[in-house]
Amino acid sequence: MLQTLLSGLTTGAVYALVGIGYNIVFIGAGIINFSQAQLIMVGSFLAYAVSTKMGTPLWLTTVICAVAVAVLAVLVERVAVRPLWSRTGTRDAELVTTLGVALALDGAVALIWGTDPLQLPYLQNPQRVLIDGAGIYLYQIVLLAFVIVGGLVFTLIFRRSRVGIQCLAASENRTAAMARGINVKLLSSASFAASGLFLGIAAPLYGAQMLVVYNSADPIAILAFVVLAIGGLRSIPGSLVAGLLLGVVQAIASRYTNANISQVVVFGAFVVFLLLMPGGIAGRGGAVRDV
Amino acid sequence: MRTAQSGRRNGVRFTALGAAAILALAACSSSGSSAGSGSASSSSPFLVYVSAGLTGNANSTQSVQSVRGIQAAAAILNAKGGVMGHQVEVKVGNDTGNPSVAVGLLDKQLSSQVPNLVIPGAPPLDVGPALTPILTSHKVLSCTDDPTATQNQPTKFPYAFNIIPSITVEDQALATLIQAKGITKVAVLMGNDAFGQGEQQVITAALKADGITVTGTQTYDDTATNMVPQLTALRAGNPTAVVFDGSGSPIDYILQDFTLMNWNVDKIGGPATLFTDIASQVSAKNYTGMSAEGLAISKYLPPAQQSSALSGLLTQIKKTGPITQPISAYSFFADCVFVTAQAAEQAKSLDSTKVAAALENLGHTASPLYVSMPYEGFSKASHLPTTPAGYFRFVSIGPLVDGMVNGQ
Repeated sequence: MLQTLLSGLTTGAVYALVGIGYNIVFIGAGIINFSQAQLIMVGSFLAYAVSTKMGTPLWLTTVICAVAVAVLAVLVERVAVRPLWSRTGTRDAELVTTLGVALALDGAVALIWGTDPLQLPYLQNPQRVLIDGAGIYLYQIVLLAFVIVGGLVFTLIFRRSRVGIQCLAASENRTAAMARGINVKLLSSASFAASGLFLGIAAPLYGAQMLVVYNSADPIAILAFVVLAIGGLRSIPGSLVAGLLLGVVQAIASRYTNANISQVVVFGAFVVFLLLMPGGIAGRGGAVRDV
Repeated sequence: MRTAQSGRRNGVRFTALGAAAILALAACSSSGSSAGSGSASSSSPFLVYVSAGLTGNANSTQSVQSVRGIQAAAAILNAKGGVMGHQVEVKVGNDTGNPSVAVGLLDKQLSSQVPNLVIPGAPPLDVGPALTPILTSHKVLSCTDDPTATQNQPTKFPYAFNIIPSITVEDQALATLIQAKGITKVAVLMGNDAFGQGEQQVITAALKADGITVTGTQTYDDTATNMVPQLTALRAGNPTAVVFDGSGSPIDYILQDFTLMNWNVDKIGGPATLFTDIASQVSAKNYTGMSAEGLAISKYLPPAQQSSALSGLLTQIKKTGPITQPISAYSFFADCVFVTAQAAEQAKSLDSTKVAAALENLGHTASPLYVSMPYEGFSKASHLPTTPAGYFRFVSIGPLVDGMVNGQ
């Protein structure tokens, strides 16, 4: 059972990672960026490219990925989000354009690197840690810790810092925020950059766990959306808890049923959860408040 | 009033009309019989049309290589004078793995020039069933590598042939190989798609028929990245071996999780696992000790031990780039062209009906050009090849050399 739990936590860490990314952008820009999961997938390919072509060590690869994915995220904001604000006046079209970006990134990566999984040159023989007989790789522990610490850091930023509170204000009422002199466009770009940086740092570890393959992001994008629904919009601790919970529930369901039934169990459980707590974990009166 | 002169003019007119009618009928009958045979003139090519998902699907990389295999076969045949004197021409329709797109592209091709041979779904597999009925109505030969063999209905699809044995035959052979290894308790892990579910039933039945205990069965979703729950469930049954099948990243995740759980058990891959270059995707620590069911050419043969056909095919493929996929990605599709060409030479005709009949009675050739397996087994009852006893074997997983697995 412990092995199953550990595997669920490591998978859930990835769901939480993307779910937190969704929330960072939602808080700062007021939209859901459907290409969030694809950003970390692209980051893993960048990790593969720089480490195989340039022979960069893991730490430098991480830095390069972090910067590159942050830049890519800002590009997404400038190309697929910002132009629509003045034209439509609503925030609905960004759902479609960011979905288009997600599909374009999938296709571009497949065109450049092909469809076969690729192997990163580092972490090929990862150190294995035993916890009461159950195995977990050290890099998986690092990834899990990064997601938890990162989630807590962003929670503090949005609760305690000036820029974080401005983001909250902008996400509540954009017009009022602008009237108060808050530069909402800058906050939007900054939130995309921050989420890109967060995902980019984790990209090499994501590539080691999920393999570097063009369609690795597709199921995660959907499940991270479930994380968002369960954890609550604008709740980073909610995304963290929901992501880990989703991974564990999925693993337990797979352990004791089969692949077909486990999907039903997972989504059935969450439908029941949402019926009981429509606001998610961070819903009104819940244990975790917004941000 | 009819005059003699007008009568002669009428006679000439009727004779001319009759001659024209006879000529028109002759032209119609010859174009009807050459449907699927291409043009009768030796200056016209022997057209091979390939419907492949070159982009836009998970099999794209393999598709591109499959086309290279077909083009290599064409080049080899052309160097020997073509098929019945007709140079082989390969046209490729990128169906992006979408059966609807494949149908549209095939329709367009049939409107412009009817191919002599169509290779549908090179890969993926769901394109073939969409094209076979159309090809049958146009009397066009087709050759596919569908292990489910759903199109193996010679009465209904007399022009459709399968270049690989059915999964039933492969799994029965796998069970025999496992039994020969002295393994008595096996767990089974397969994908939860239609193919995987079908294979799970077949392999489970075959193992039990050979007196092997199946301690447990599990399935995995193609999108799953965590196989620990399934492996944990199988481990509870204490098997001495785990049989799993599939291709691509799920196999990599399975192998990684075996290592994570430190579960040292015989890892046995089904035939589809050899469509994945496992050694390039996971570290040696993960695939060491894994063996998979393969054909004779799956295991690396140094050049000195290769048949002239195999070395010739490899040389030709390498003229267009390195061999980056397992050999079967190239060889089965190349064999589609070689086998059809041999049947055409045997029938001394490009007529699809005659070539199909020749395929069903393919004679033995001392030095065939095809490389994957012997293809004398097609018959009126079955358009699947038969395999000689002992043809399948275990191949230890290792790096690919010229597409062949070079394991320990």
